[in-house]
Amino acid sequence: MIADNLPALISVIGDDLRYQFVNRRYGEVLGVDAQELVGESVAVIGRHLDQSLLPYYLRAVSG
Amino acid sequence: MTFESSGRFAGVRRHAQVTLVPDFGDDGVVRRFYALSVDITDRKERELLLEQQVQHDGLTGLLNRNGFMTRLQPAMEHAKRYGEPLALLFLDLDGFKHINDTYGHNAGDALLRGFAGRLTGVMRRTDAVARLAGDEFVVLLEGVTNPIRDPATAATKVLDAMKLPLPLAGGDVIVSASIGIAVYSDDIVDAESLLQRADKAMYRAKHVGRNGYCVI
Repeated sequence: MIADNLPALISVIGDDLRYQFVNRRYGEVLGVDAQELVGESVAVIGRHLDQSLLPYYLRAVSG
Repeated sequence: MTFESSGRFAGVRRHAQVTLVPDFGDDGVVRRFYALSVDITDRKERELLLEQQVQHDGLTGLLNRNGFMTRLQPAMEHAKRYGEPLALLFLDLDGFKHINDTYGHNAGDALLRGFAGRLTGVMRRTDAVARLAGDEFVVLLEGVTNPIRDPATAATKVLDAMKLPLPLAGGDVIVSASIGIAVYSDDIVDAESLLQRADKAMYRAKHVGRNGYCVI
């Protein structure tokens, strides 16, 4: 799949803020298998970040 | 929606530019969204380094004039609003030109670095310490409890610290400093005037025999 080979992190996140898809690079950066992230909460990446992205996610979900 | 985000992954700091694109269902309600993050770590680190260089003195690592003014202006506004005393120390090494001329510029630079180290060593971590130019240094003392005694104590600490010789390539030297103290008051209109007042006090200290401080 094209998404897997791009040098970018790509994910599809549901309105429940859980991953529906993550590309391979996403898994590599987090040090886990990308498939394992499907169904997980976005808190998985949030733990690594200086600031929570929750406000942005909520804005995206509300369109 | 695009924004920047930063974090730490496997011990490495990374910066990313993130774009979120909502995916609407047939009813116009967002079902999910796409998140695309592009690594911008190299560019961001260069930006941060540049920002740091713009505000700091390359020789001593202290703030430079630009960085100091950026700290001084809001500090004065704060002092004015809350009535908290603020003081400025203006320091100039005694006989720096002579050492520079006698031992060379490398020795002069080493002396400036040595003095910068002594200065930061005796100040509180929160005090802004800067090298304005040449051998002119300033220290911003915020939130002083006693506007007369505290800056004088700080100045005395500097003078005491300079009683010990500084090791230079050509041998140890003992260099004193002259210090001007200006305490912020309502009649001082801007940062530049406070700086000028402290500068004037420093010249007075030089005049009365160096290795001392003077308050205006």
